[in-house]
Amino acid sequence: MIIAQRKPIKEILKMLEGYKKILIVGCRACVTVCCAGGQKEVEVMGSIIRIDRKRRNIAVKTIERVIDRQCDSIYFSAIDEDVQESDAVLSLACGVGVNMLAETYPKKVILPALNTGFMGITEEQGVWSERCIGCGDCILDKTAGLCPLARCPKGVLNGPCLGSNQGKCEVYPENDCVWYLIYKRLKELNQLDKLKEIIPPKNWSEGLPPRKIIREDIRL
Amino acid sequence: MSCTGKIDNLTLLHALEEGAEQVFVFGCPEEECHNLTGSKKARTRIEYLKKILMELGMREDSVKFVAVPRVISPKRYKIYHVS
Repeated sequence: MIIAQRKPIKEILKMLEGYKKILIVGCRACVTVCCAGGQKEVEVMGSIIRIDRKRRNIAVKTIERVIDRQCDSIYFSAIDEDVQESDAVLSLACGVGVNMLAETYPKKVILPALNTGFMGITEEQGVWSERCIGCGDCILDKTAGLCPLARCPKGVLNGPCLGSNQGKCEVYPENDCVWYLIYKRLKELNQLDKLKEIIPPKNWSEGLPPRKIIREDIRL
Repeated sequence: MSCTGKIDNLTLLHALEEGAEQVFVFGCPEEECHNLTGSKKARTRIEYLKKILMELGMREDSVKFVAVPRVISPKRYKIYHVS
């Protein structure tokens, strides 16, 4: 899933300055799971905004909504009227959701409340870490399902580097060296011979943004 | 509520929004927590909320956790300030 976290409150309040009717929209997808933009976070954000305005004697009306997904405009019908009524829309979705709102409502001010981080996993409650950089050319079959591009700070494709020390990363010593993990897993799977295959440098020119995938077979 | 571990920052924010100058959360001392980690969770959440409130320009002690020993007569409550 996409992992995001709330921007500093001061930054959010600054971007909301001057707006009196604010629609706060959360998303029930990834950002709900990573506790950044679900129902609870939307309500907390609304309360924070109202407390701030009350302290400064500035009127504000907040509307709080959460929709199933902000990356798909099909779900926007639930907030259409609220968007029209508001001066500004504060999105608690990832950057994709903010873009989708902006494209759908060209005459409305759409503001981001979150900083979008990465595609990752939940390690434990409250801890998330990156697992995929979306390179567009997956090599996980060669690396026992563990991605060196997402988990090695140097992005070494044929590792480990010389800095790997007792299974730990030299850049982030608290982390396991992903190439050490790859080695261990391949050994467990009796596939160590895969390490003999040199993974060629990636052709990043094919992955320049904005990337797009078109499936003619399912288009309407 | 039955345990401060169930405390939700939204509840505390609503109290401040309603006009409370300070909100106290009374709970068990961490080492006496009936649910083992309830008080610890409450304190962690309150610390997180304090940072938000300070960003709003509010006092750090706008929200405070107060540990009260368990199994004690309300008349004999002795309040320990933990935070």
